[in-house]
Amino acid sequence: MKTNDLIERLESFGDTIAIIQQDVVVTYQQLVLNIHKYTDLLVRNGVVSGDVMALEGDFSPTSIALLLAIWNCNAVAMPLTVASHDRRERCIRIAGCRWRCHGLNDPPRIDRLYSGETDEQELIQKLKHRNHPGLILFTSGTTAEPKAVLHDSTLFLRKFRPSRPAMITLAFLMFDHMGGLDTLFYTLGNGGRLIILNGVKRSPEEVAIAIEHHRIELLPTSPTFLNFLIMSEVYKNYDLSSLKRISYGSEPMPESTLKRLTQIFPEVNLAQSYGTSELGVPRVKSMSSESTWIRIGGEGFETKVVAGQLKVRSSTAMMGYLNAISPFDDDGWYATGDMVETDPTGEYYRILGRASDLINVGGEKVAPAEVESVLLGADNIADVMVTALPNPILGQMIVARVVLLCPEPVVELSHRLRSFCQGKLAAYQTPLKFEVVERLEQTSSGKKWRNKSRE
Amino acid sequence: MLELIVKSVQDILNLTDKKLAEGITADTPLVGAGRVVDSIGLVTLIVDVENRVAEHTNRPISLMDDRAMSQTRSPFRTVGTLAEYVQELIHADLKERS
Repeated sequence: MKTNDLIERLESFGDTIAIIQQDVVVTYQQLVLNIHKYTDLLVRNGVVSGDVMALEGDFSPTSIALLLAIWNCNAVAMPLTVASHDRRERCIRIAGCRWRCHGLNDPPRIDRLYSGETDEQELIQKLKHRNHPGLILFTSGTTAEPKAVLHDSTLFLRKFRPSRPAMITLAFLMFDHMGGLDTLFYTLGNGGRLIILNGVKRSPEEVAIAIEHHRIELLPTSPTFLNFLIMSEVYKNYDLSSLKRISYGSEPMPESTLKRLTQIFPEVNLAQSYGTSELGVPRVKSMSSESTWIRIGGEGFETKVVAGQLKVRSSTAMMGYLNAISPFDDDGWYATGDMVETDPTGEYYRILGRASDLINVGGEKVAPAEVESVLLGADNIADVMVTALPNPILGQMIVARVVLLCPEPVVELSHRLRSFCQGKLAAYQTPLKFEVVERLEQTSSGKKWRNKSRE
Repeated sequence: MLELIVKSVQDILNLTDKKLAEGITADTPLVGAGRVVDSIGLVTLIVDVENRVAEHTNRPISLMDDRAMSQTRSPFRTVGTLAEYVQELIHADLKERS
């Protein structure tokens, strides 16, 4: 879908409210006016087709209008939120940004980083040749050089044709993540209302307040956040009855967390999403609210499983990495790195975890998420992260780092949890070592940071 | 020390519902012929012993390291040899501190 077509559609929603951030209320009409105003501003500054622009700042009415204005100029937008502050300069260098703009204030500030000739990336040239705008996102790798993922925005926008009911939606995921952009375009593309929180931290309390106040219907979030929402019990103190749908993705959902959610929110549709920076967010159907089995698909999206790993071929996948070799094989298949289980019909998958997170215990492969899911069902466990430690006897040994609700000596805790796992996990899947920690490490996008301990 | 390890073996065997014809003694093998635990059971036992010793002495102790693995005769052969090895480590640790 062309940016123009999207803008026309936004215009058709007229004076419906599009975005609310604290006391700022923006209608679709105003949003479109701002897109045109910023497009003029960019053109006057000299932005041309194929220019790469760093767009700094989290979700805001200005940054959203700026993003569409950049695309309207057939330029390439690279959103960078505050959370990626440390990586900012590195990302700007990798992408060869010619411009940087700030989406925090209106009118936005636009700075030219350099003019003159540059060695333009081959993929950017290809995009320019197509006369299409682009999008650059960075993979949330924690240690290695982040990979710059380039999307053709026209292909990226293809899936956001009007199709869903207009919903009041919380912009929970980040502006520079695929999940956040998916939320944005689903909401606006269907004439919904996007609610933006201030700041990058999303606490259960803050989210619950927003749901009650704005009568939020759709909460796109992560299993880790939902686990905190359950543990903190803040859902008891607020009226969350407006919720119709909770979608969760980005890491495997523990069955125990899902079960608790269905008890707490019996009327809410709980839906898993599945997406990556490279592939975007395809259509996903959960078997049911209580199920972690999903069907992944939609137009132009094919899947297969090779040696337990999910492979995908999609017409709307990224064009490639700017700073890494193409991960697509000769037939266009992309190895997701996600290990899956397939149901007997072959139609549904269950995500077990990252191939790189698999633990090898004496030759048996163990998915940490599966073990965590069982342990979360035990008493006195607030949160848990399962990782591997090198072991001279088994090669690797499973270690569970647990956050406790009340103090408990480690000898007793180990015995209690070992017996708890009996019959629920095979012996090789059961953690051999339990460590009590104050809190678990998280990546910048709020996922469990399993590899931290291996560094 | 022997007592502590016997208790630990007992707990681990109870977990697997494994019944032993005879009681656990210093001669009960942990590896090789007639062993009462498999490899996972052995590592579980060693971690458990580490935890118990640390609880008793307030000093962390590491039983599965190069030192243990490079001994000509494995300290993990029997309940008795494991107890001796733990004792040895604790003494060495005390000496170092004094």
